[in-house]
Amino acid sequence: MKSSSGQGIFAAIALMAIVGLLGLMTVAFFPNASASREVSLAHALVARPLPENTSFAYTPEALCSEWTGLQTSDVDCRNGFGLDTMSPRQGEQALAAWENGLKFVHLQVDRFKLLALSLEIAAPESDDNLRGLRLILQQRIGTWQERLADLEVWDKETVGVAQYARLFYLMLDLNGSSYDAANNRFGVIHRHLARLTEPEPAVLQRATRLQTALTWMPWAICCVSAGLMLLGWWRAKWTGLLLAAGFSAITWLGLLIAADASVHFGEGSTVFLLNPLGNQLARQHHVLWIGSATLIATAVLASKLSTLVQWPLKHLKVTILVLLAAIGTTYQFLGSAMGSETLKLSMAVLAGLVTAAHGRSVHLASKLAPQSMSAFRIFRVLRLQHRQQNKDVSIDAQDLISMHLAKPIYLLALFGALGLAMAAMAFQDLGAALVTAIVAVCALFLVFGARITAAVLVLMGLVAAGLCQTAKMQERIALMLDPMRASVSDFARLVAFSNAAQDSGFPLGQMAWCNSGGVCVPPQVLSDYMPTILSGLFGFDSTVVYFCIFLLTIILMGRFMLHEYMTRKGPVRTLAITAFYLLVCTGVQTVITFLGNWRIIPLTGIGAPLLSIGLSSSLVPCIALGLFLAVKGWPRHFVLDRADAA
Amino acid sequence: MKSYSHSLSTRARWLYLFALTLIALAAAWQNSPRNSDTIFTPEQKIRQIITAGTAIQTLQSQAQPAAQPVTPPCDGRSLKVLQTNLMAAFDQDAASAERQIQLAASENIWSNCQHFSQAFQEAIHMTNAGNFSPALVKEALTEDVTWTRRVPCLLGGSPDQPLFLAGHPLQCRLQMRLNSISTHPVTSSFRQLASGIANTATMAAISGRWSATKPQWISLQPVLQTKLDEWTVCIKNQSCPNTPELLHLRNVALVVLDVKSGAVLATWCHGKACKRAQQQGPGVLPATLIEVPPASTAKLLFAMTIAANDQLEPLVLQRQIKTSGQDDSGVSKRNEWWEKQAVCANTPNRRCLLPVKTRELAEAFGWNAHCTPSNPGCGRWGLLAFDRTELIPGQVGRLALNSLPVQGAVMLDWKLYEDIRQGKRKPQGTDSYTSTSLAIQAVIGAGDSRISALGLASLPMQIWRTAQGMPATLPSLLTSPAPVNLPVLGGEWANAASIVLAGMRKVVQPPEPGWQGAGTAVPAWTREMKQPCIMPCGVWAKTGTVGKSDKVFGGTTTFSALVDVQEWSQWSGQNPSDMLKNRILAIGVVAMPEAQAPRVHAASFLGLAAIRQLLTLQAP
Repeated sequence: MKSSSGQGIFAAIALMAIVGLLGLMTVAFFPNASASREVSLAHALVARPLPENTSFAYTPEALCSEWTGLQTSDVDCRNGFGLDTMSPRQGEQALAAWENGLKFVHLQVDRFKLLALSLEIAAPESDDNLRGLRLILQQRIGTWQERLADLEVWDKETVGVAQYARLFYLMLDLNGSSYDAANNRFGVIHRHLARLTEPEPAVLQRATRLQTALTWMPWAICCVSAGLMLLGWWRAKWTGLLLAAGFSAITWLGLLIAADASVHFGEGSTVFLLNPLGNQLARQHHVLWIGSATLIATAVLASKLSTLVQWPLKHLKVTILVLLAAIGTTYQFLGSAMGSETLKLSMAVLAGLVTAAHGRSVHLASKLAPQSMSAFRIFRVLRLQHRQQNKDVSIDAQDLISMHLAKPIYLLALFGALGLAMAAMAFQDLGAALVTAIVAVCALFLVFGARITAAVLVLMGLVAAGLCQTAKMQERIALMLDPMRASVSDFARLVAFSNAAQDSGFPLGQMAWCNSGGVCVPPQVLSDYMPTILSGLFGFDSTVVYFCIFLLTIILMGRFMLHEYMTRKGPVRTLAITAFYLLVCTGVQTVITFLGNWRIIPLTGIGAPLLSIGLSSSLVPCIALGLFLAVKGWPRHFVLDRADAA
Repeated sequence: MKSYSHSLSTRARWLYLFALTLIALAAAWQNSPRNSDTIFTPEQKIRQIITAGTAIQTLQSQAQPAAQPVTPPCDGRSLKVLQTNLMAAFDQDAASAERQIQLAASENIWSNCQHFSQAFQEAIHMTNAGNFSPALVKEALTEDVTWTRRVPCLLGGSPDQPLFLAGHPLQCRLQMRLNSISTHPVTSSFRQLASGIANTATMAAISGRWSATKPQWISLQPVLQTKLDEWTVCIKNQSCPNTPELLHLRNVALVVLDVKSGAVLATWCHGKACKRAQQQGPGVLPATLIEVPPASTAKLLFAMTIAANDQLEPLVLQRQIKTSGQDDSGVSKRNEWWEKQAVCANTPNRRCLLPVKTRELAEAFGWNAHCTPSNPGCGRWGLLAFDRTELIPGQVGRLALNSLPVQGAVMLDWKLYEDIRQGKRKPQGTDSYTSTSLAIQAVIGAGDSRISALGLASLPMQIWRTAQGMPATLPSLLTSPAPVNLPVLGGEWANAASIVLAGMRKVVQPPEPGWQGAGTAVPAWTREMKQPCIMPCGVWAKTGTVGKSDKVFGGTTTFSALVDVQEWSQWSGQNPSDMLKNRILAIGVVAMPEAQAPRVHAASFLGLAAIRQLLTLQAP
């Protein structure tokens, strides 16, 4: 008892020390909201709001329709050519459209002038960010005025296609819109200065959210890490406490990077006048709570829900259908990030179910009736399935065993094939497809052994070789092999960023998101390129150390889960093996992301677990850790003797 | 029989082994070399744009027979919008656009429709801007991605009202209040020129061809440019009461330099030649690129060499400069004295070194730069960075004496050469004849010698600097970096420069006892300054006129001048703006008249009008 209470005291001290340290480091290293140009901008706009009666709702799309007298789907709005006749079109409303267009341009330029004035009056001269924004805005106003002057020399009766085209482009620019002629799609450029002239600029909300997030961040981190460590201690004593502390530290690091980007990204750049990552900390703040809640819920409720595990084991086909539907729905409606997370989660769950349900029987069959496990027979029994219904037809006993064993293989293969096809073909999510494929291969290897896995690997290899010939993969391979000569400069900039960070990295809180010339790392840096950012923060060597420690932890946790699967009885085995596959998912994702960033393999566009922004980088690791804690804390009443297991 | 646990453990061990191997391999990666190349060049994209642009240009220039039909990477709406884009951009029919698409598609470099469309979009944009060539495509798409690279922080205007032109204020780290260039009117030449320079500098910095670590000031002065814009307005309104010759010039260019720093303070250009020069690249200053024969202004170079030889009475030389040759019955033609000097007529049958020395002096003044047989930019320096003539070039001048041997040449007798020139004798085709011809053409500023308004301003600047014992310098558009100085000339040149300057002073002075004729700029002086320049009046000048026999440049006038602002203001009683006080200015003017223009020396009239108007506070 004494030793137990003594440990508790030590644990409490450790908990308080870690939580306090994280809280203090948050206060010390997280940026100040006042350094954000969007916050300064919001203050200026609140102090001197733009008058609402000066805006004129007329869009480039409306100009295009009115000028040509056609639906935009029937014209190329850039030049006013009808796509049916392949000739310039000018409808009856063309002159009215011209006048409306010019009126919009005038009023919008005036609104920009008012905005520049607001910035000049409301912003202190010492605020370099706003000073820069004002000057660049004034430069742009000058350019717009020049373009407007060029248009106004034309009499409205004499304007033609050339003038229309110039007006259309000017309106696009002033409206902060984009136009994809090939797909007839008008878009909104979110970081365009035109967003500031809108009646209720989104920048105000973003700034408020950023300020709130930064104000509450130390408390949020302290609460979450304290809660997780308490949970860890409750479920798994020192192991749990340590893992929860590690989880909190990594999450803290991810939040620090997101906070820095939310405040400083794009500073000094003439491209990112508004911060495209300005809302990421607020979003990540939510992810922190959701992820932690998921972890806690998994750890606490896993034992309660374990009885439910029996149902999918019995209804594997229905489970597969439900999972596939869930994957499709999330991809379609929640985006590729959540879709990929659902796919990985589903594959891990299915692999866990199949391993738990069929692992032992497959093993026994392979030992007692080895012929039934031959690859040839597994494929051959596919056509015997219908004969099983016919009682008059006799089936060889080996075939009967094969048919029984082939079922999980085919179900797993079917799910894998459909899931991967959905991810790779329909939603172009090669990263998730790769992670899922590797998890499936792991499951096959663990359950069915090397031969069948080798056959599947050969098949997958052929598919991968085919995929490598696609333009997208070719581009990524080119990007990996020679970033300085690839078609996009993303990797070239990341290489330059890494080189500039040198061995020690940029000091904390002084990350050089953009170079002194205003060229920035790609905005998707917080998701796809987190390992590069880690190099920027701590230097390359430290990143390698992080990578190794993280993976070794995952491997040790996986090893423990596999051990629990082998040595326990009942539903906990299913939870343990599912946790194992989720850890495999996390590990594989880590390897793919880091190796992709280091240009050892092509980049796949998936995030680093726990570090990258978004729920998609947190959900699987949180559930994995939750299950780990649940299994670790599970009462050990059903330990099997190893001999019994055979 | 192995237990299930044993079997699973074995397989798991293989997995761990695989994972650990991966970690080890990744850890080993840290020792691999990193990419040290910092220039990003999207080669495939460049190739695609060049292919698209070449297809556009090939079919624009000549009708191509229908090639074997190729399936382009785009179809449906994508193909149609590409086709209409080509039709609209080049005002051509659907068939031509289709052929352009076919021609580009026949190259096996397209991976998808998006790349195909984007390449055409870029190619159309560059072709329309007149910037399409394989080299320019590569230049436009190349980017220096070094994280320590700085995009230049370019400022303009005056220190009390600085204008922000390029870069990002955050990077400039300037605490002063900056204004936007848009505070100047859209039509202002300063705004147009400064924006062009800023864009060029930024693009050059992005592509790694130029860098500037500190904020740079563009030397063009808004005050001067604004005054020169009045000339543009008067031409537009066809009403130039103060400078009527402006209405009769097909091309005219003017450049003002600050003599002490070599900075270009103002440029102005009007005419079709300016528009053509503008197409030589973004940011160019047309006034610095319009080339004409220097005519008699080339005599200043020879005068320097003659004076340095110390064999002549300085007054004789100065009077020859004043009237640009002897203006009395003592000679058969006006340039006779100069031509005889150029061919060393007083030392016949001996190697004549004077043209060679003049060539060396010209080179010391920055002439004949980068003159190789294949370089069309002979005589040009970079105004943004002296060694980058492709950025913003400026023509300083070229003196066509390159083929003269270093040790000099034996010249023909001047009379003999004159007879050949008059057609009284046949040319001999000897080296002596060639050398004599070159020397005589050079001294009268004819033949293949060329100069621009920039060179015309630069020449008196270098003479003044030499007289002051200062090294010659290259003209520049930036004020903040230290001027690029050329090698210092010997002491004898300083004395020679003083003698020549004294001659240039006489060019604006009325006739004097013992020498027939007023200075060649006196008519213009009288009109502009209203009173004769008898005492030191702060202006030194030289005029030149291209003979009517020149089919291209006949009638073109050139004007070169120096202005000591302080001396001029004392003489004239005018009060110049603070920005100009205590400055020595150099002005170069090139004026190319229309065919029916009145016969006046337009360049000197405009040059002196510019001096008066720029140095006077009130509007011209």
